[in-house]
Amino acid sequence: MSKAGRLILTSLRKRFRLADGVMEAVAPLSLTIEAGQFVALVGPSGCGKSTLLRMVAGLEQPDEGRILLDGRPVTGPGPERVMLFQSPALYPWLTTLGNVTFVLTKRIADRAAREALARRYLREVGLAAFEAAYPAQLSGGMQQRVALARALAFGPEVLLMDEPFGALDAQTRSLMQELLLRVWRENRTTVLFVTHDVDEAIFLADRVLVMSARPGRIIDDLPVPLPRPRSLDVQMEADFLALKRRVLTWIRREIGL
Amino acid sequence: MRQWLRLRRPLPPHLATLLGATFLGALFVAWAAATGSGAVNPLFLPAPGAIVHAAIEGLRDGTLLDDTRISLIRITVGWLLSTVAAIPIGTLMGSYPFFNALLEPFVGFIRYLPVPAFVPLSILWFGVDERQKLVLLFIGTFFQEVLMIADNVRAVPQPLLESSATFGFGDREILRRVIVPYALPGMMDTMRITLGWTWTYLVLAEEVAATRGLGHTIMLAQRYLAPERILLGIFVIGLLGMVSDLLFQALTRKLFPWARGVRR
Ligand SMILES: Nc1ncnc2c1ncn2[C@@H]1O[C@H](COP(=O)(O)OP(=O)(O)OP(=O)(O)O)[C@@H](O)[C@H]1O
Ligand SMILES: [Mg+2]
Repeated sequence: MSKAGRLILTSLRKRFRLADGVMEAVAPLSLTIEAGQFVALVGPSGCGKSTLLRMVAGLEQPDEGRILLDGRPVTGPGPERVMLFQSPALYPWLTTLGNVTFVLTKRIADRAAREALARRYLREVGLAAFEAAYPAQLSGGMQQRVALARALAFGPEVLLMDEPFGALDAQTRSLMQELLLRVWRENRTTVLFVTHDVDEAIFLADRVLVMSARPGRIIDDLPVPLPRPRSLDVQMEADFLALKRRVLTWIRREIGL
Repeated sequence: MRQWLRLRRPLPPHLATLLGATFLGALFVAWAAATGSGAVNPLFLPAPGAIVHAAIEGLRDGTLLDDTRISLIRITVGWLLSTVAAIPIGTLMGSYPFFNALLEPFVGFIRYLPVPAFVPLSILWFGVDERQKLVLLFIGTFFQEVLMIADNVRAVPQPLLESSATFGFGDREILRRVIVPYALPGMMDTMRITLGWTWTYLVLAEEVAATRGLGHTIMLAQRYLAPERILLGIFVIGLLGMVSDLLFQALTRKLFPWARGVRR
């Protein structure tokens, strides 16, 4: 089976029209992401990371340039590119289980198979006991875990994640990171992962992209040669710390410190 | 006492009921005292007993139930017509800026016109039959309701729509399977509130050429200087309105148990 999920972004540019003129959010930006690669995207706040992700998701149209997924141009949202937002975006009238199976109707015709798959991922995120609960009965972190289970169970070619773990406590966060890596290794999904947390970026990714202050360009593209599977201890190793120092230096410079 | 006066701190249910009942009771006592002591002319404010008397009389000769039945039918039909139109149109306005741009100026214009101004027109168009009354109730209700329904639909969070789109749901599918279910409890609230507004136009609708109905009776009682019958009509309307409100609330809680704590 040939691997799917190769992304090519060419001279991508996005401007927003404001009351007092135009604001350039993403400067012409070119980038190739190999199928199955895990790419983290870091950069100062407001530099255009979410905008970039939204363009790949097809939720925002670029003003210039184009996006190809396995050779096909991206023109709008589609099930091969699922986006996980900072907010969980759950369906409040559906139970935890229903939230996962609802989107799975797009992939799996058989109801029993949908439920089995949904239950498997809910167990993975530690919410098996809450499958009958409504979102309003869950904490914010639990809701975000349902959203993660939903996206992972769906199994898209490309997973676009916009600070998905920002609202989680440290322990849950590292559990979710490990889960994400495990599922990613199994499914070989292409992941584009936006985060403010440099440790998280390096721990997860094959490759860390650093964006400049607005308008966002890629100013550094660091491979992360750390072997997998990675344990949390990797964060104490010299290679890790060297990468971290380099990324932080870039970000400090871009913020203007 | 202080503990019951904290910002948004919920009250125990029995205390909440007690508070409401106390206020109504106090009003009643003040009313009975004012009329019983002879301090007010009963022509301006009849005593509670006079109203009970009027009620018994109305029940005995059948006019009270008859009027109530007629008015209830008018209210229900007028409100249903408005709601059946407002839900699809409001949903389209709240979902597609196209339909909003098309209809909002028109709705916004009519909405500010005083409904009584339509009385002569309604007679011109429909004569003095039942349709004329329903049209007034419709005008009074629909143009408010449709904008509120559109707002209920706009309350569906954008990330929910965008997330659904990335999972492969198309526009129509999102409208039907995401927007509508999300907005339903809010729409129920809107229906409940607008039903109250339909009631407020009842007297106006039954002003012209009606031979029965609570509103008509109130107008008639004014002509014959029978203030106890005016108040009786007002009480019946208030009571029916309150009961329908409570029923609607109970129905919403029953149909949408998930909606507690969800923005609508
Ligand atoms: N719909 C929009 N209309 C106008 N300006 C926008 C819009 N969306 C984003 N912007 C602007 O584009 C710039 C980039 O925004 P974006 O959300 O992509 O930043 P970000 O890198 O994700 O920031 P953060 O890390 O804080 O989430 C910001 O200056 C923002 O104000
Ligand atoms: Mg962002």
